[in-house]
Amino acid sequence: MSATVTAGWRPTPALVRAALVSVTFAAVAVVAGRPDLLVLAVPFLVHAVAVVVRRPSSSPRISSRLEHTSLREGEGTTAVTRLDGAGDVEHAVVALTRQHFTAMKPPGGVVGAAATVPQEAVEIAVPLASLRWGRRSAGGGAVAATGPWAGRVWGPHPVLPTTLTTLPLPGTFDSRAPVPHPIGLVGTHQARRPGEGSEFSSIRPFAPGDRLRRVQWRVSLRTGALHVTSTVAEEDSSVLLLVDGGIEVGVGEGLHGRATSLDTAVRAAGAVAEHYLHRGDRVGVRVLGSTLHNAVPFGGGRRHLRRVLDTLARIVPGDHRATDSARIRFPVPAGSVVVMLSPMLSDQAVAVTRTLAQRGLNIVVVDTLPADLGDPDPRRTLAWRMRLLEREAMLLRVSRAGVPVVPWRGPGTLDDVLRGLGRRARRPRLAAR
Amino acid sequence: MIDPVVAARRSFERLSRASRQQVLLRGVAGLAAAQLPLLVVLAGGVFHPLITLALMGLVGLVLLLPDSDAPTLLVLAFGALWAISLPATMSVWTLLAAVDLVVLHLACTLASYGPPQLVLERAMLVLWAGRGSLLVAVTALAWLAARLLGGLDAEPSRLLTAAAFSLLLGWVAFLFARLVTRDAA
Repeated sequence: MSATVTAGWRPTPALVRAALVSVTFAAVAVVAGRPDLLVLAVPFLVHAVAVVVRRPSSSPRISSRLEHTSLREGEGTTAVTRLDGAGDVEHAVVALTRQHFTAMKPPGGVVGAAATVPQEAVEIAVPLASLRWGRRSAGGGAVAATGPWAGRVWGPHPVLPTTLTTLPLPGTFDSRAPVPHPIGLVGTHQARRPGEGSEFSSIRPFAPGDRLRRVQWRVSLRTGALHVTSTVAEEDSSVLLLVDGGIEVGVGEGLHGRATSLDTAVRAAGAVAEHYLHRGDRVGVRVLGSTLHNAVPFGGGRRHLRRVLDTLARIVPGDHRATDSARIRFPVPAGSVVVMLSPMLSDQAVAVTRTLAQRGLNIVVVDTLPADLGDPDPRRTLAWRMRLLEREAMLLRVSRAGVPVVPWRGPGTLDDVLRGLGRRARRPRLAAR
Repeated sequence: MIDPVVAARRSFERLSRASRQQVLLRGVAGLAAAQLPLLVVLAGGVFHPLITLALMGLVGLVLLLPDSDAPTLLVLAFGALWAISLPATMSVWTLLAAVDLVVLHLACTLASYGPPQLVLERAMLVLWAGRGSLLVAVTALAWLAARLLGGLDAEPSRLLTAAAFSLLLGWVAFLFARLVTRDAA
């Protein structure tokens, strides 16, 4: 991003001082016959002469850029401000605007660059790091240049910012539990049907089409009939991540501080997506409470993970528009696992959860509400307690719909509930006819 | 119109974020400025409490705003104090006063390069150390020359005064042309 500025140079207070003092002192010295005042005027006279004998012939042109426009949380880049046509510049200084969740070095974002030898271009680099996911502008501020002998100054002129996308740093997550209904082609989850796989299922009589290496010779010799070892098919699964982006609760202090409910939800969604995509499953994302860039269709692979993280980074906290939950359509294939990441404080989240549960999908709610809001105001604390009572009623409605609710605790968060859902799926059910 | 209280608060806020180097530069400027009334007295001048008080007020302003016109006012006020308190003298105190003014001027100049958080590079400090040395050397030469000429006890000459006036007017005209007219660039 660049902007051409043609505004000229103006005298600095130092030049004004040198000129005014030299003239005044010299005038009094001549008029009053005071050679001592002439001696006092000499250094100012020398400075003024050194400045005014040379005049800046051109104005620099500003251009600014970020070395990287996309980062992970905690990663750093460099904001580079370049002044071209800087033959008259002896020193340049850039002061970047301080932004939330952006750390700069030095912390004030003020960096100077000396050009004691005339150069055609001066570059000033300010290292910065993004401490929270999201899309923010960075690298904006002001730049000024000073001419030889600090006689003339150019600027300050604005430096245009660049949009910096910070992808969430997925939290640590691991799950050893199989998904309840893997319905796909080839994957790592044990399906409910026999097929080609590595997990033992049973020993059964030979049938046409069975491979010879599957023959179970010991049983075949004992029984006198050819038997084979059958295995359980291994299939991939689809995981839909529903992120409640409409409500954000708590205090966000960036990567190393306290996390809001949305911070937890976004980082947890990134972690779950990374885990299942590495295992070869298909992952989709849907952001509730957001109307733009709110969905990623099911897909797999490393590039898909990048798409998921990019969509998560675009969530704007509080960018909530009332939408009728009954009209929201979720194209979820059968056998998918739906992971809802929400503080469960809105009716919309509850309604969506119940709707998906009624469709017979395996849905798990990951509670992202922070444990402590740290609000010292007793009135707000009381109001919050009342809100929590309402939330308990909402969670009860969700539980009655057969949806397990677990708090996010990193690795193993989903293990117990996924195993429970798997057991429940194998149990005989009473069907209404 | 900016409220002076708001402006003062902003200045203090800016100063609170100043780098150590900028604090040091302001300290040097303040110290050099505070020594000016003392130099007048040491040079044998009369102590003027009111003017000295006004100078001290300006010293406070210089500490807060070295990039403003306060240092200019301070130097001019000091010149006025020197002129009314002392007869023409070419003692060593004159040279010391000139060197003190150089230190004040350069400290304020270096403190004006950018916001108070700025840390000037070593190359800039070395460059300005050389320039400061040059200014002091030229001043010392001028002081020596003035002492030598003063020792000659030459008669006042109208021609010399007219030449000095012409030089001065020429300098003012040159400055006017260079500073007041807008740069084409």
